[in-house]
Amino acid sequence: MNMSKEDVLSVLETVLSKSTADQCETYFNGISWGLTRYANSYIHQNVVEDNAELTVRVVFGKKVGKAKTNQLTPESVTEVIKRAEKIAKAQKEIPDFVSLPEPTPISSVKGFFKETAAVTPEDRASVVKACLHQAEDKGIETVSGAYYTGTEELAAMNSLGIEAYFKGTISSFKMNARLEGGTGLAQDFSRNHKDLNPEALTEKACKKAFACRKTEKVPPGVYPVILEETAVCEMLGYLATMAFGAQAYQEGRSILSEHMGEKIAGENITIWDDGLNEDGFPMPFDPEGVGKQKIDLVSHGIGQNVVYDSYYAHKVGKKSTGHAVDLPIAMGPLPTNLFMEKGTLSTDDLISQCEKGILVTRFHYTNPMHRLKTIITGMTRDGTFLIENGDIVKGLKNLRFTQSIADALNKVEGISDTWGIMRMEYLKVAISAPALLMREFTFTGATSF
Amino acid sequence: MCMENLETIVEIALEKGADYCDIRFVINQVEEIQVRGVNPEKISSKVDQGYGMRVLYNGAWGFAAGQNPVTVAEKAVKVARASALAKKEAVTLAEVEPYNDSWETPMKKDPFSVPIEEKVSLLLDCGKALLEPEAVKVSQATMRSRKQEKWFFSSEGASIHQKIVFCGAGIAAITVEGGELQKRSYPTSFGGDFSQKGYEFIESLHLFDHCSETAEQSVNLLDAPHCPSGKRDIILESSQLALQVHESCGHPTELDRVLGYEASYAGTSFLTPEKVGTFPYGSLEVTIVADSTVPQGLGTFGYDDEGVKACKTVLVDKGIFSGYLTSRETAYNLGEESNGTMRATDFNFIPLIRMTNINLMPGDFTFEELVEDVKKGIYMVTNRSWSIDDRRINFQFGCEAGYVIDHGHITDMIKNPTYTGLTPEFWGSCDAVSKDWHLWGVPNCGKGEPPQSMFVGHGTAPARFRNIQVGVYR
Repeated sequence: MNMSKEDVLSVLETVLSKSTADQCETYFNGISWGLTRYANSYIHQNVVEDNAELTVRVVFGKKVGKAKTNQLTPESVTEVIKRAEKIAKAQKEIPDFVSLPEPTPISSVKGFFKETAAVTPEDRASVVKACLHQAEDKGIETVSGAYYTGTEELAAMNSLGIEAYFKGTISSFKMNARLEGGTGLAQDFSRNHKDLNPEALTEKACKKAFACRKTEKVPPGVYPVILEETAVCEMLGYLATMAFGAQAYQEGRSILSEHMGEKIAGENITIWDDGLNEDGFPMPFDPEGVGKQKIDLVSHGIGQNVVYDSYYAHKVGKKSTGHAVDLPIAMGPLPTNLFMEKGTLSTDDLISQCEKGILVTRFHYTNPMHRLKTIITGMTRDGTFLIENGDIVKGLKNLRFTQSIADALNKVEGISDTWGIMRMEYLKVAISAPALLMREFTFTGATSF
Repeated sequence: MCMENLETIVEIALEKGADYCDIRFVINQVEEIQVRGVNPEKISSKVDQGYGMRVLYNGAWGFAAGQNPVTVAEKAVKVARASALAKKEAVTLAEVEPYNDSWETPMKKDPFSVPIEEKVSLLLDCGKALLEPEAVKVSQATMRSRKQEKWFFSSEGASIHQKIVFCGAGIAAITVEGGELQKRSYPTSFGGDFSQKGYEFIESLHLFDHCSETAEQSVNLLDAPHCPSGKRDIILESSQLALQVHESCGHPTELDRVLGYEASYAGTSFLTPEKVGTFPYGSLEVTIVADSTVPQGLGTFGYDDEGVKACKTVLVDKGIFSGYLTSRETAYNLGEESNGTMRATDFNFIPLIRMTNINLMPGDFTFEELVEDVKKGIYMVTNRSWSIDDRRINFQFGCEAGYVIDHGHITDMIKNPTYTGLTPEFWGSCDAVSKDWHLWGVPNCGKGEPPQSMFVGHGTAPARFRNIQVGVYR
């Protein structure tokens, strides 16, 4: 990448100045990062990447064309503009298209940490090596995971006056420990790699692996459950794609389509998106250059809002909330820095409140079964435990669940005072959620491990 | 691009201490058209290119990707040196002949040469036709074409140029009413069917001709009864079976998963090495092969991204688990040669073991014969949801539509059909595979960190499974 802010903005200005379209928008997405992956207790994959993508969207009347390139020479910039304009001219009108977005205020957020940007492959390898030794010293058979650090750079401009630039750092550490068939996982994500604590995460993963070495089977059925933060983040992510975007809402595919302003979860459930909240992964604007703001999605169980990009906002006479996403599949706008309100209890408190139930560390390969009813299915993984009389008594073999998220969120009896965070880098979507104690959760199958 | 340039870069890496290295220069061209209702919401053209280099230094891997090949080489060596800090045993690669060759997708009509107006008009016509029944709230018509040209050069002297083109399209109608949401797709869900052919493939789908039936089925599903719960004989339509093969045979036979390389992310596999040649994976009717030579598959190529020539490998032979998808590194661990399955999605990703075309071989039955021998069963069509555990044993699938089979006859449509099972038991219950074989293209198989989305193929025919748990639903 190695481009200054001025260089990046200069490329975008060039695009706007050269386009002959009625309206023009251009977006720069740069990445410079390294990911160190380890398995069987050694580094088996280790990659670094420098890349930058320039997107040009042009509008002639109601005809819109979009083109991308990762070549930023003057010739390539000219070519990508021409390609976008050629597409737009050959395109049919989009009846529902109104306009590119107008400028909005863009707040400043702290998302760049010099020391995180400066982490080298040697630094990552050293951390991994130390964690491998730490796990080995504890008697763990084998560990696997990943450690990444890097910089992302985003900029947007349009011919209506939008100009936005953000440079942020990214980092994550993940440790999966395995012992006699039992596995334990711990992971964390942050814009500042110093927030990660690989040593503590290794300790946590090893502890879980030890605790579920000799697992027993419980029959599928309906159980009280404690979902740790990672599992709640995964669940909330699916709820976001199924329910909180304007596309699904307008098309009647969201649970909020028929229940906006109504109770869809328990009174103790509050969910919002806030691109400016530095507790998550702040990002002050979307790929259209629209400033982000806090959007209440569910307040005390009542459905409040969905998020918009300019296209779906203009369709219904609203303004974009700054939630456009740039994905190959046109999924419409999505929350990108999602939060569920914390409670007042520690995870230990949640466990002590559970007479008999199942504790789930994380889910695996979850997928929607019925989007309108928010039903998902998936497996538990890397630490599933039986709770009896307020204590974890044994590890369990993994279970399949089939569950409506909305139903589950109507049965929350305890909420932790901690947030776990998960970020899906390819979507640039982050979710922060507490652990939850739920009265009922449906397990529909079991495994032998 | 000329191979001499790549050779120069390889020499730079060797001078910096690399024991082995290979470099790919890749140019990708992707066109996506998505119509939603009467709105051609997305028409996008993406072109990217770059260098990706793999290096072995002191037996440890490093990879770098970028635009400047010299910088890429320097970084790749630097990264490999870092990997060597936390190394156990030196990586050794199975031998491969260093080929000097080229390969290209045979096609009649380059999809990128077809005017955009023509493609958009077709999809808009479909989008409108699908909306004709009032109950259809959303229609989707999509098309995607991809051209990947890549040059590969290795320090062992391999020099390979390939140009791979595929395209595909599909339509879908979504109905919403009374708290129920239903969808029907053609020719299958999640973007339709894809093939390594030219635009003639999209023409052969006759999308517009299927709009009326697709929309009608999505409407009929609204009032159809729910899938019953219990044990039933089931017949799976071939595109659903393609995903079943993908999840329960394709992924667990990836040797990198088996050896733990994906343990913290996608998981491992129940098909451990001691099971090769003896483990009863399925019934006698079940033979599954990995074949990167079959014409028109999305997993078809001349050479993989390690320069290994395309080939055919039997994974399950008449029910017995027989082999893996391998790379040069993993094959060496088993004392074998690589069977050429290492592919990277683009220049900026490392090659991983990926499914090629994982094909269930056809049987001798007609579809009617499959149905005739079912007293109480369900015929399930078109995937809607999928999930499987991290060792690939416990799975659950949902389909867009089901049909009751009553004493050898297909009768009423049912909605929200699901089935669940354990992989070896499920394939063990397969007592008939039809001869109506089709090679499906799946362009979105996810794997790895950073995640890569790969294009793979699955040849399947409708098949019958006995006494399966259906109707897992709340």
